[in-house]
Amino acid sequence: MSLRRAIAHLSAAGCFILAALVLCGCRTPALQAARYQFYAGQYEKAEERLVDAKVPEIDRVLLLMERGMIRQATGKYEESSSDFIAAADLLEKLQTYSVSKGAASLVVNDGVQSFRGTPFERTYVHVFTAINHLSVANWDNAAVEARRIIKSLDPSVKSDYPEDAFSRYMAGFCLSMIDDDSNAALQYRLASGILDQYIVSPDTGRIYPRPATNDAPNQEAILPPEERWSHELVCFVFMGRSPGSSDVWNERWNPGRTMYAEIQHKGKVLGRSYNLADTFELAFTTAEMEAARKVAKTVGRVILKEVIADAVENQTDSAAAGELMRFILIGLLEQPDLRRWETLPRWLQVARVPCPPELESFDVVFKNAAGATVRTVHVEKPITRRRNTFISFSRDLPPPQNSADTK
Amino acid sequence: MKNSAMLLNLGLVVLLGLFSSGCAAFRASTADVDVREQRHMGSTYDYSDMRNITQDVVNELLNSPFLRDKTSPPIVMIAGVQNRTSRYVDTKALTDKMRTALIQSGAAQFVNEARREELLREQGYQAAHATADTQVQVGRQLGARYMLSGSLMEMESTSPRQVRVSKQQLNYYKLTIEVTDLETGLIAWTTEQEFARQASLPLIGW
Repeated sequence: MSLRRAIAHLSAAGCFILAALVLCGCRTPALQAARYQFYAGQYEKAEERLVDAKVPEIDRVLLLMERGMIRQATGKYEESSSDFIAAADLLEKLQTYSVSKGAASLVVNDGVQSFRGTPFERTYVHVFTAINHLSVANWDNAAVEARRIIKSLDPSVKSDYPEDAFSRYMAGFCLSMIDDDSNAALQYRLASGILDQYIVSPDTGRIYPRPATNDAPNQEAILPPEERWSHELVCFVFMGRSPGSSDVWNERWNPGRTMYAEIQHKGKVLGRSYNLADTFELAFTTAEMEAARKVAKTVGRVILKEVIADAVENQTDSAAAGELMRFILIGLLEQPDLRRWETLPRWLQVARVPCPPELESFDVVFKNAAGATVRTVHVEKPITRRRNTFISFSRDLPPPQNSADTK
Repeated sequence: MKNSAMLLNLGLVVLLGLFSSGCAAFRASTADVDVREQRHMGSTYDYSDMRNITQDVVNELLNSPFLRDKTSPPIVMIAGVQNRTSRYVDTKALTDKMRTALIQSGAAQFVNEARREELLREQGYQAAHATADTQVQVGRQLGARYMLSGSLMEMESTSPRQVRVSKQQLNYYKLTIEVTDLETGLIAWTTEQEFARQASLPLIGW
């Protein structure tokens, strides 16, 4: 056997091994299963699955994001914060571009690079950490996350990627909790500037429909409470499911109309939530912005793979060897990077409503765009309090299931 | 052909040599570090900074007329230092270190406000179960006259987006400590300690 042939055979064998490794590495069955369990209401099982999950190091950030969200749903706010903070620390380290992984992505696919998420996902790591801190009344740490949110939204970091009003609102609210009112007002003002349909009062953080807008669903059915309470409830409301990567470009995927929630106390409607961010829109805009860069990179990679396959074909004088190499490099390894933080909610909303001073529980009535009730969640915790403001959050998720049917 | 075989053998020998020699880069190692030595791994707040700024605050407080003019050590309670940075900073470690230095100097006394619940529980337990001669008396705690509080703030600047292989990061920190007279509500003493550090962070790595 000539040396050229030996090299060609070795290259082919190497590519097979690489293909097998990459294809195994790309698949994260634990993450997929945990997501499925999460949306089926099996939160404890979803968490268990991710505690000792064997996930490639390149997907570590994604694992922490998903586990942090699952732990938040189970009320483990401290553990959830630890995951999110670890994810943020890793993301900071990943700012250093890895030449080896970058080079590998040029000949294999983008899935061999460490998952960093899109800019809005990176901001949401801080947003959901702030939620955790608010849930345990840790105002100083919530303010730390507010500053991190603001930093992540700085044009020098975020570039031209889309901004969302919810992150700005969260930053403003956390700053108001430590009496940094001027900076809170600035964030509320910026949130207001992003929103088409609503206005955020920079002084109070209350949200109102813009006068010219008449498309808020079931607006007239919600009456203001008769009492003039001095206390207020700020409830962050999350609904729906963030789209997967393939959903963003899928023409048949139905994005659905914006849901909302009514806040009720002892049967009385205190007010409703307003939508400040839609992760589908954020994901779509981000994908649009990245499309040109991704296409250019994919075309370059395919050309490089063709060159390699041609070289193997010429060196071995075997068309079959070239075709085999082509099949491995393009047919098997050329896979889109579909990794995404999938336990994120679709709609991120805020209900800031007057409430009685002795508030101990309330109901969040999730409604579809037509005003029909989808689900009612009775909230007793987390309800924290800072002076006259009660703080809580609620997500439209199925009630916890304890059955052992799915594992 | 002969040359390439020789090169391959040479490469293998070098590789084997590296592994067998236990090259430091491939070994796990530990080493004791003198905490008094200044060690910074980046431009952000670290333990050396914590030690420095608390020591500076304590020195200033000990030499201030506020403490110098007191005939007896004032009783102080710690209300905490507000973290106004974008990082998770254990600000309790700052006040713990100040309190330790001040108590050891004998210039101030501190009430243990963080352990009040446990203190009351123990007093209650003693009242119920301890012998009369060893029981502590209830209602004899000393009230603090002064409150120590403050804030730690941070300002960060990074080099703008441009074609480069490293990023410059500059962090400025300022610790403000104030002592408030609980009777009058006036700030009896205050100080500021500040520092800034610049670091270069690689944007490209292996």
